[in-house]
Amino acid sequence: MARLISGIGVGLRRPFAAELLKTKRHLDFLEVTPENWVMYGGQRRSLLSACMDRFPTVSHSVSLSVGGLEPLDTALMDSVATLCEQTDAPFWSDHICYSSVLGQPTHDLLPLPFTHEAVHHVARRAAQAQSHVGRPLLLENATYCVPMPGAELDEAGFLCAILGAVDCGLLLDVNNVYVNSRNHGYDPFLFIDRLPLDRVGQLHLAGHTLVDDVIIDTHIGPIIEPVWALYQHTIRRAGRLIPSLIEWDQEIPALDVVLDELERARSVADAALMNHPSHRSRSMEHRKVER
Amino acid sequence: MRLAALFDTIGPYLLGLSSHEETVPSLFGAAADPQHAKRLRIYERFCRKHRQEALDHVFAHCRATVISASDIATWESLVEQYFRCHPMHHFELNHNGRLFPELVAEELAKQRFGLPPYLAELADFEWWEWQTYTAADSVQDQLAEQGPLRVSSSVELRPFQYDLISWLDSDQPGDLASSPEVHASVVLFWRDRDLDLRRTAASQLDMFILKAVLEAVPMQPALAEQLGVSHSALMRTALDLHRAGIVNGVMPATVTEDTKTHGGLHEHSIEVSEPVASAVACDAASCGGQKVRD
Repeated sequence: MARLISGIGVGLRRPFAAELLKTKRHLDFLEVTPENWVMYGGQRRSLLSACMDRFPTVSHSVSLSVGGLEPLDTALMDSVATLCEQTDAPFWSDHICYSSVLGQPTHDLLPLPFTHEAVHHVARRAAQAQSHVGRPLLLENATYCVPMPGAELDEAGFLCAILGAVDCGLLLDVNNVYVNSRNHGYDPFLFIDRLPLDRVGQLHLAGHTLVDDVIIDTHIGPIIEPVWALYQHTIRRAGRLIPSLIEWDQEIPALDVVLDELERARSVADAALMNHPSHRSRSMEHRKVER
Repeated sequence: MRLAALFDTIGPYLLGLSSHEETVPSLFGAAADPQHAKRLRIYERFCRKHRQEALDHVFAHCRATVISASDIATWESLVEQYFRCHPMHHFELNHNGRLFPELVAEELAKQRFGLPPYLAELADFEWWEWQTYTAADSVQDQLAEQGPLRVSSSVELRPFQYDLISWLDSDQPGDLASSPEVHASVVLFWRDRDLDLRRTAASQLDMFILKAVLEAVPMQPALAEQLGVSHSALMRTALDLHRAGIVNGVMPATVTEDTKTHGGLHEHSIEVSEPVASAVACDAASCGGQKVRD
């Protein structure tokens, strides 16, 4: 049986990786971007091994290019499979996007058109990737600054159609929902309400940056209040603490600042579930057993 | 728009091979929303930024040298030229710079970009620093005091015509107004037992001993005689190489107290400073233009 991923975690970043090994503060799991770690021996590998020994760890890659036309990168998927084996992770994740074009990696997450063709293309390749790695795949909703031409679905419909076409989970990036809602003018709460939250295996939380008239998903924290509100709404509606992760990728502060965000997430999630029907009934059952 | 058509249209733009003016009408039609046209530039900028980042960190001294000799635009043009000749191919961002030293050598031969003559060697030097720093671990290296003598898996010997070590270590970071002296040497790159990156100019005797270890030739007086050195000098140098983590395995019992008092390679090898070591490890990431790399 795979190792359990639960609670609130952080994305492993090199600037604070060594400090993580010394902290007495509590975090439940780590997320590792394999592209940044698995090719390295030496000190970086040693740091990764120590972190994986201490914390439950999941793989979150950025180069699968599940929406691209190039053959899936076998070397990447093999690396992910090895990492999953080493961490005994219950799932791995990547993004609904393309990151290679005309045979070349771009090292960016690029938006797909919301078309039926893209739905079936992503579904087919996600199934192939999941089968290759041998563990369940969670697909993450990505941001898009500009919609690609020819859309036949809206963004929520696109995500739901993909989940309907392939047996994968969803990694729901709450910040991305907020960013897209602001950039494209929709209600993020109604967007969340349209998603099958029972299929969500993990949540992401992060900061972002306003540049001119567009918000860029920079993962520069701290997380803003409207995103916390959306997170609380998501947890309340799901009725369970979906494993949640703080991402901070640029202008990375001291570890304690990142862990403060983690504690905030814990308290927001607790507040969301307080008096939730599913939790009330569980408490009653517990008391009954005690008698 | 079908996916194949989308990628054919937007691909060259993202790769820096076609212009915004060409791409926008092909993608959005002649009456494209101005906001869409403006925001499309974000993706082109992000992709170009990642190409720059792929070389900026591994080749930090090359970058500083080119900027010092000309300007940032020249460096950016050189990077774009590199990726036109050697497209990105690897999911690990820094790995895509493997052929940059070759490109620099070709451009030097063509006398384009006004590059300083030592730049190809500097690029090769920086590439091997990064290669050594990140090289895969070997179980054999972890058993440093066991088994037959063997060369550490991270060891690499590279010939250079310029004295890059003295030049790099004598300058303050960013102050690269001077040039390295012409002085042929072989540089030994390796990772020590603390996994720190080190490099030093290899002596003739260092190289003879490494060759002997590779060929499993015993460190006997006969070998010393063949090399024209005393046996104690041979053993002292072998011990220095062993202490430095260049050679692993059980040292012959003939090592004497006299040989043990030698200062060893630690005194003249250079441990690469943390800023340099971390600079060579650019994380790739890619959420919205930043590299997710740490």
